[in-house]
Amino acid sequence: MKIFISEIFLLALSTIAGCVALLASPSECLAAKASVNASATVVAPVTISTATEMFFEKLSKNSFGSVLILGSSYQDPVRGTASQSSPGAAQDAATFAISSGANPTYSVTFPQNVAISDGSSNDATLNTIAGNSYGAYILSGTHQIISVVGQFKEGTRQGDGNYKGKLNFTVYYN
Amino acid sequence: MENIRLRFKAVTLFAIAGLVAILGSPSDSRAATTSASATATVVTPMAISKNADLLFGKFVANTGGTVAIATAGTRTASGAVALFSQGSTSNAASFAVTGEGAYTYAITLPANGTVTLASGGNNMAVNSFISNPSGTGTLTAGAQTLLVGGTLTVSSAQAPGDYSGIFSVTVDYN
Repeated sequence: MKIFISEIFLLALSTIAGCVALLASPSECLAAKASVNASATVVAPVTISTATEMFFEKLSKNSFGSVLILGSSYQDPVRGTASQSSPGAAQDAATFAISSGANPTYSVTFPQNVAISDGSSNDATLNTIAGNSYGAYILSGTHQIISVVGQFKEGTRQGDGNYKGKLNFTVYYN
Repeated sequence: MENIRLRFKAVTLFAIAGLVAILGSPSDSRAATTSASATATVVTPMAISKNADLLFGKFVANTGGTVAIATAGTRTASGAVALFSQGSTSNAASFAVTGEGAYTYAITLPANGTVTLASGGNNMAVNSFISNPSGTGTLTAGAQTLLVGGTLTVSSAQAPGDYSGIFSVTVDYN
């Protein structure tokens, strides 16, 4: 008789335990869960910095036609050769260092019709074009040098003087 | 001797009659009988499996902002974050949910502040998880595709790199 009562007691306990298990964690019995990956890539911003200023050096006044070109040879990425200038004068195309953490393609805006002045009453305009043939501008690695040459156009009042101006270039990812 | 045999037969017949009376007739005289059906339905358990990860793609952090992936997979940026398209893949997470017939189920997405993407010692939080269907799903022929998007918070000058993390989605019958 004692054995019989004990068996009933154990059976009751196991039943209660099963119910508690079902009631306490139904989500574990009925729910389903799945995990996925989430990812993102932060790309380093493209930067541009001036490596070399643009110099036209000395231009002879009588050579002022409509346009003077610095860096007539686009194959030279650094130094242009002005077709009209004082003998022995040095000129330089502007150069810029482009850098990025990736190797993407990028574009550069070349300023056009930028007013330059001698600081008094004389003015001129300057256009810029690519001085080398990187074409699509694809960074190979993380660093690249581009050059820019200019077209010096005489202004409405052209006189002797030292002409200066500021050119703003913008580089951006395609 | 003949009397004894006759008595034995009589007793036997009486006993049989008694048994018949006991076994065969009480229901006819005192009990009632009816029938009931017993049925059970085994429901297909819910299951969920990954079809696609949540991809925020590539972007430039600049001074920070957010990148959000809609359940349709469209990617939008806020603040100063600039989306980067070159070699960038973005999409919502996708899950295959299966279960019973046309049953409805509850969808549980990660709570805000629980999911982080990491790259080395740098982190970005993913919050505002959204899903389609939202809240409650309805199975069609025991299946449904669940799409999940979210919003990534990008800090100013977030360090470049590949970030990754894991999150879970739970489904349960209503």
